[in-house]
Amino acid sequence: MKTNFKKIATDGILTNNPTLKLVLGTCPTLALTTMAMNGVYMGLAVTFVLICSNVIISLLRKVIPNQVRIPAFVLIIATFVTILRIVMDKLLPDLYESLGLYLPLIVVNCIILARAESFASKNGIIASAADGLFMGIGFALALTTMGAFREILGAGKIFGVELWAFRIEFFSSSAGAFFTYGLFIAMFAFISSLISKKKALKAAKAAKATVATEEVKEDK
Amino acid sequence: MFKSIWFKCISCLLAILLISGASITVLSNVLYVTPEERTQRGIIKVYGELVDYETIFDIDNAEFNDDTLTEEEKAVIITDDGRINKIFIVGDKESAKYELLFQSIGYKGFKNGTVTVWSRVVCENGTYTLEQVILSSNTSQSLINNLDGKFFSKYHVNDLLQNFKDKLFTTDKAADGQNNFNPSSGATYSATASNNAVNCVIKYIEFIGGNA
Repeated sequence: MKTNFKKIATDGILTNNPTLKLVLGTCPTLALTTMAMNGVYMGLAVTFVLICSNVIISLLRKVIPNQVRIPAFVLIIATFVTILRIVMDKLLPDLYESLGLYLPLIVVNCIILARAESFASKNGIIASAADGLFMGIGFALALTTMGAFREILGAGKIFGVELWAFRIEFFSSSAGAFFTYGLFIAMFAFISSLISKKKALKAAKAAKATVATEEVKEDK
Repeated sequence: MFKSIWFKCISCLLAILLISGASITVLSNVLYVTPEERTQRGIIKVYGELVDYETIFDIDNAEFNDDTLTEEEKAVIITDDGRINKIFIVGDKESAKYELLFQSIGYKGFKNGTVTVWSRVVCENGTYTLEQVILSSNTSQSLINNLDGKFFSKYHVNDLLQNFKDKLFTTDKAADGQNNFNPSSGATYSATASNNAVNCVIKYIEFIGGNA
């Protein structure tokens, strides 16, 4: 079966965005979006684990008995998170410190387990790797955008660069995280509905035009 | 037995566990970060480059650890609110100006966690200045990102012995006093642990200042 990369990419980034549409991985989303850079780092870390775990799970999907698939998936995910921690502690210590306790928490991130269960365990290696990549990009984009929004309003900065002295402390707080998350989900849903309405209208117009053309042909 | 489902399940999980365990063991050995490397990272964080230093006390070094301390030193270095992990001298101690670099850990953070900081104290003609405090690491502090550079810059104090004789940093939501810290965005526990870590350094300075 041919892999539809376009659909996988659209699904991961837009249609089934893990953060804004599926509302998965809420814990790091709320806690780490105080700064845009945190979103980039966390997004990259999750993307790495998603790609690696999806590939291995897809590779072993016919070997792992159905009864123990969840513990097996968790074991595989935990292995990659541990590897990521060891590598980051050695090579990227600043990044390792800035992600802090949210790095080991990737093990219980719903996005990874959900993609393993719903996609990687049913699809081929290349498609699973692509799914991991685009889901990770979708997650990273959502976190970075939310982080930038909160950083601009809460700290008057963007990617650590000072913009102005004006700041609304609320956006740096936990309550601000919930508010921002809700606002982004609402905006995403609104834009998605606008796009789907536009698409439906376009499809209806195209169907109407086809019917009209067929009627003209029949008349002739 | 070998065809039964429970055997397949157990052997599959065991195989994954073995391969995972083996790969993690190999990797953690190859990429092991030594205590010395961690110390050097801290020094680079403070000075921007690796500088020459002399060890006075180091919890990870058998030559200078807790066993080598006198009872008086122990009482200052190990307290109920925190402890000093490492003390280094940067520069010549015999000269008029040299620096003391501390790595101290503060207790009583969020969920009884800890905050570890690096503190740079400049000693010039017997006057001690708390020049710089930066975050080293933490345990269980979920709001640690709220303690930013602006927060740590508040620790800068000239002449520690004069300004801090019998005074220590405290955390207060309504900060008004000289030593009260207003933790940004509710990170009260983390700020308390950070204060405790810095207070350990101040107590030590008082100790050596008093003995000087």
